Amino acid sequence: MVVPLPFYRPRDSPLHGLHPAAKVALALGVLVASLVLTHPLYLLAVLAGTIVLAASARALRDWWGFMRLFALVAITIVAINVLASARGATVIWGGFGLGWVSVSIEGLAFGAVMAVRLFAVVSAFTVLSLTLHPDELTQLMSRFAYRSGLALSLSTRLYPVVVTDAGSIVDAQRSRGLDLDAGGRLARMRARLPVVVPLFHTSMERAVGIAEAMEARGFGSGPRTRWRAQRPRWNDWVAIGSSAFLCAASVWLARAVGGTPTFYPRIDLPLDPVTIVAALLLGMLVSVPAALPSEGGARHG
Amino acid sequence: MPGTDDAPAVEIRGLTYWYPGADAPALDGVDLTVRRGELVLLVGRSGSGKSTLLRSLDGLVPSYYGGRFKGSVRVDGVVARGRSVGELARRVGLVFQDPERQLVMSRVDNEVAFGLESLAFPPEVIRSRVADALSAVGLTGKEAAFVSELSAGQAQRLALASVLATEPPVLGLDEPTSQLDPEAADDFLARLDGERRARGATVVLAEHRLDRCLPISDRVVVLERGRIVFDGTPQGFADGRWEGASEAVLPVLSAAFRDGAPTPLTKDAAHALAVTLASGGRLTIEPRATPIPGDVLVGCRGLHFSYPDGEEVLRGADLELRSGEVLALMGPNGAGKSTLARHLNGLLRPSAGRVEVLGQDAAGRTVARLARDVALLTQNPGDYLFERTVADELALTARLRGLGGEAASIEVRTVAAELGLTEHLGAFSWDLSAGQRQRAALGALLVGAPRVLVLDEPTRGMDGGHRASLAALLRRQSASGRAVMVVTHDAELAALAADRWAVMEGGRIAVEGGPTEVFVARPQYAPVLWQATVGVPGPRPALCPSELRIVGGAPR
Repeated sequence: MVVPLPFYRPRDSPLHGLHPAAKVALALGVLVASLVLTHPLYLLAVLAGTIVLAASARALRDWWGFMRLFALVAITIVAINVLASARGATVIWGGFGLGWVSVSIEGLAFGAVMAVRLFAVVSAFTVLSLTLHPDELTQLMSRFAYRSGLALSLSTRLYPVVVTDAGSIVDAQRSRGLDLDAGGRLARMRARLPVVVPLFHTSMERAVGIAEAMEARGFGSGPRTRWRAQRPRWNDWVAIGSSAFLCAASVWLARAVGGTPTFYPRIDLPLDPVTIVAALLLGMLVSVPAALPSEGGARHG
Repeated sequence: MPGTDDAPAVEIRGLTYWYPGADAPALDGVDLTVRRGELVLLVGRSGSGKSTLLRSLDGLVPSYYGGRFKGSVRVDGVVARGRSVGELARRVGLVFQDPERQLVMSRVDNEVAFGLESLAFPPEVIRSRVADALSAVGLTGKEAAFVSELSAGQAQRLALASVLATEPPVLGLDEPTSQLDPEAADDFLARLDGERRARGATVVLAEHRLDRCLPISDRVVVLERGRIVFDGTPQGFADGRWEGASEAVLPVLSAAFRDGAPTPLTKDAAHALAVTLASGGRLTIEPRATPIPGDVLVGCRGLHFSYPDGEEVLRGADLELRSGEVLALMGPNGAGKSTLARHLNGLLRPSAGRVEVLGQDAAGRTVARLARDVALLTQNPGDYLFERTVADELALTARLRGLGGEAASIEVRTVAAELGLTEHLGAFSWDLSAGQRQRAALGALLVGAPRVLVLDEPTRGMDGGHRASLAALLRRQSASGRAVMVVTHDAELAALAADRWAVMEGGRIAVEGGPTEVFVARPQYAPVLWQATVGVPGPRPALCPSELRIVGGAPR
């Protein structure tokens, strides 16, 4: 089955209109903040900020379509953490008498915080891929790693083609009478070979063809020009600045303000007014770009 | 002295070239001079060296492929040898067969800009060239579209725009319309002709659609096994009085009026000639015998089907396939032809209506079970091939049909012989040519003797000779009692193979019957010869050259 990957959705939005570097800066800012911050309230605020960004990019539905799948991963993480960590003091379930399996409130809480952190990071990068045109990635990387950027962009361009290929190969093999879903797991995997082999050959032939066509069009013949080379505008600088400020604020908050929450052996979550205000500010900081004008928004469609 | 105006656009001397590891040369002593502004039509069967010759123009042969290379190629006054493909890209632009195998970027305008950026044009030049090139191919307004959302015709026009944008003096096109339906192909060729005239560009065009290309060509060059066997005017080519002229390379009208001179190049000229001949009582048409169809093997009644996106593709389609007949299913893109074909073996199931295979309701039976009775060949034969050799491929189907031991190997050999695959049984499936791959895939389907054979667009990219042998193969299948249905845009294939036609429109069969009923109602699906002979006093129109007789030669 095909996973609904969060591909670029063309929209006229403040986020879409940003310079690709600014879009990447936003995602990196959230990444740093999520890694540095430990207080669940802060992490929730950052996550909320990314949701505001997704909404401002008018891509909330696509965002949710992917995050919903990711929720399964998050639940697994919580579950593993709960089962594998025996350090919590408030054991609410002792398991099957197995010494190492115990569920504690502390374990649950810590797992939940981990999940929120992961959610925030994945959410930010989902927003990035929903708003960053694959060609923008090539453009962004053209200064230092054009070929890698192109390879990435080419693979996103060909993804739908390969999905179509796979579908038509499945049709072909079923038409000859192969039952691709029969038997146990091993049998099913072996039964997939008739799909994988032609798909590999088709993709290889296409790759050789594209490489040839690129060469014929002068690719790699010397220095390139960039027709969309664009300078960051004020709104890009605002987005980059807010990301930088987010990073700095997160580092400072994690060290200095409100004390560090601890989970083991007992939960200690400082919830003073300062923490609450700081969380609100963090959330607002993440969502700053949503408030930018979308004038000339769709540089890239 | 690059680019001097008096130098020919292309000058090839004594070009002989071997691909790495090949025993025979792909090009063998080719001499060719192309004047500036000429459109040279490159004709030849698959594998005759057309693609190789085109690739020698910009140095892909030999620098991308390797191999041994003798002789010289000058393009735009510049010797190609020793220059990089990139350098030559300013002088030669190539358009390839398959749009999916040449487009690089995700966004339409970036695709056009890609070549210009690679050749380091300044950004302001790129901006105006991108706009011009997109407008030249009718894609203005699609700048921001995703390349993956374009139709095949649009994608191929985008490939042309990308090449036009760098304004190379020489354009080389390698069967650029082979993946397109007739309407998109006509549009592509018309735009190509308009642009090359407007720009004064030199064009070398390899194509199988001769009836459409001859009228726009200045000259025809025929390749056979890497050698030039004809080099002259379109008229001289069509008249067919040159060594090696055969129906495999000649256009349909040449083959039909080969006793006349000069041979008509266009449908209208052919029509005028036919009228003259008929009024002199010198044109006779002997229609093919229509077989008496046997039992109904597949019956569809009132089929409805919607894809998950909600689009209803079938809206009450009725269809019958009878033993001993070949049905050609034609119609515009999106009419539901392939969708209907996928209902016959259960790949798709109707939301309403009923499919009967050999008198039994298909609803309760699996695809694997239905595949024993209905063989469906989809568009890419490569999709079927995953075993190491052709023999293994056929043997696998035999196992799936419950055949084992001696029975299996007899069946494999019989099917292979029937399809002309015997000498390829030991070959690795992916080393075969496109035509051989199609036969291998057919072989994998026909083991176990299914009564019904359905083919979806089997002649994409196929030359005239291969088309004729596929048509003969389909007729042998129906003669042996099978019911054959071919979904196709190829009116010439249908003319050679079919007994009955059906035109699908908007999810149902709009017209069906013999050629006369169908083509009077929908003349756009008639083969070129029918169009040229319709309305001619006397006999009924002809479908293919073998039905037409000219008594005592044509008027001079």
